[in-house]
Amino acid sequence: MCGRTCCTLSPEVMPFACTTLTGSKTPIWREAPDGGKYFPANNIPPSRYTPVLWRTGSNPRDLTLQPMLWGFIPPWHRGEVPTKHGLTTNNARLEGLGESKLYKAALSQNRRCVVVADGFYEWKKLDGSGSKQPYLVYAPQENGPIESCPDIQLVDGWSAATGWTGPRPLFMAGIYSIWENAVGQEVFSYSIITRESNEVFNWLHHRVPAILSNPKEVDQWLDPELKGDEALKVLIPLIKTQLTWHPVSPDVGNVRNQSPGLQKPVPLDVKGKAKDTKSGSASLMSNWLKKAAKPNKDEPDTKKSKP
Amino acid sequence: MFEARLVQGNLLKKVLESLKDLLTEASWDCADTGIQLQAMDNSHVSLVSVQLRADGFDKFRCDRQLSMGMNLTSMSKILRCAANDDIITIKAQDQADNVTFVFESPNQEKVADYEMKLMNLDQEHLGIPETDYAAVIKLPAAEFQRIIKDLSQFGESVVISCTKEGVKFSAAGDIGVGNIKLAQTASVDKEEEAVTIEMQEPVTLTFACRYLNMFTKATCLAPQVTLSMSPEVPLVVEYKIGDMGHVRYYLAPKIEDEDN
Repeated sequence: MCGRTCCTLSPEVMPFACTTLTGSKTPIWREAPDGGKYFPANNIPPSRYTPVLWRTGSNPRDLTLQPMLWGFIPPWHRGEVPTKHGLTTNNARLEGLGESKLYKAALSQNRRCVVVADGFYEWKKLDGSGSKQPYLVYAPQENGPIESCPDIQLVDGWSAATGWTGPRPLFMAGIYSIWENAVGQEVFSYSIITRESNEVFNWLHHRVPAILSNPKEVDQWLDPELKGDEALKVLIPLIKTQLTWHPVSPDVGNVRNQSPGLQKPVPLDVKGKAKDTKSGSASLMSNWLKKAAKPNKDEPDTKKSKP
Repeated sequence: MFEARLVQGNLLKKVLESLKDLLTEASWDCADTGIQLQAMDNSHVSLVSVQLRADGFDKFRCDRQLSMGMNLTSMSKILRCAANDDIITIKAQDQADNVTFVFESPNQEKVADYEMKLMNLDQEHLGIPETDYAAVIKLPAAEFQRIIKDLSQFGESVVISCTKEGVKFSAAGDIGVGNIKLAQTASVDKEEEAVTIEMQEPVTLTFACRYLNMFTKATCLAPQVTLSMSPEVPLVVEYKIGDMGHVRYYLAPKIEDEDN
């Protein structure tokens, strides 16, 4: 399952970060036709717009990076609100995708895409207590944990000589839909393809997104010449070198939490639970106190001066 | 010169008992209107605010505003040396390094004084936002203490939900689930034993038992406790200190894991 992502790179930087997995091809950034905006964030649930890579033409260079709505809109959906279709469509099961009522049309139309993010969050069920510990799962980085940060500028990670050296994004295979809204605009929406996980990942969860981890796979996956079930064969079972992870604060469980640093590694206690660091409650308290007007400091000598 | 004399000295003893588990050190801000203390616990999840009004003291003099940083563990040790019926006087010079506590027995036959070093605490003064609460619950303090103690056995947190029918405290954990419901008291014979609810809208919030248990150390101060709640706002647990002030505890609700 994959229902929460971390995606912090800005639209200016993201196309260059994608070159780590598109070969040397830099995708073109395009805004969503319905005006849906991508806002970099470290705690993104379905129904937000996040960057998705897709092929707009027959040339492998015709790569576009565009915000799409997370949560595949069923082609038969009618109504004012694109997300009000009553189905949970943030993930598409790879098993039986070609037979799925929901996805088979999109698959036969080659509407395959790559969902780009810093990584996704997954919750590990802890034995006994019924509680869960979240992890950020992402592509292995050059050194240490991923340094997600919305402030990364192009100059920080890109040079013509070395290419992109900033955080390496994670590429997840997706399937998208183009739906027309009431005012005739195209609404692009997507679902992340998931599969049964294996020994690499099933200690954390029994499902895992289909990962694309090199330019060849990305190229094939987006190749319109490759049809339907043939294309699905590009998605190989998870291998160890595709993913890495670290535990994060349980605060990420609530989408209202958007505090910086939410995606950072935290230490675990013996039970596998994050040790108490600055908790969500503490940030709630400090935000609440900030609402108060500053107290008057009319008397200069309120503090005892120490001789 | 600062001097404050309290005939009912045990009020001060009780105030310290209600603070010392939560705070290790804090500043007492003294002005001609009275004494105030405001501090957050180490984890910054809760805040304590104490007010002792000048008119509640039997003698109160504060020539210049001063802020006395104290180690509360030490202060509590000293106050434990006072008998329950002792008269307590706190004294300090304007630029003093020390504070003096004087304990007099009611018949004036025994006088003890203790001097304690002050600390230079650089604490920022926190403003507390004006808040309209969706639900204000008054209940007997001892009842509240009992509920929190009982439910702490079940889990780390307690859910307080207030509807117009009443207030429900629940906890769940390995051994099972516990629910305690209190209905509004229909007829009030003794005001101190009443449960009253003033509610604008139903509220349900989750709090860490650990802190609530520390707050209930103030149960000895007052017969009634007031809980004020609103969504996404810290809970206020208030105990009156006689008719001279209050201890208010603010506790941020737990932000629960929504994912499943």
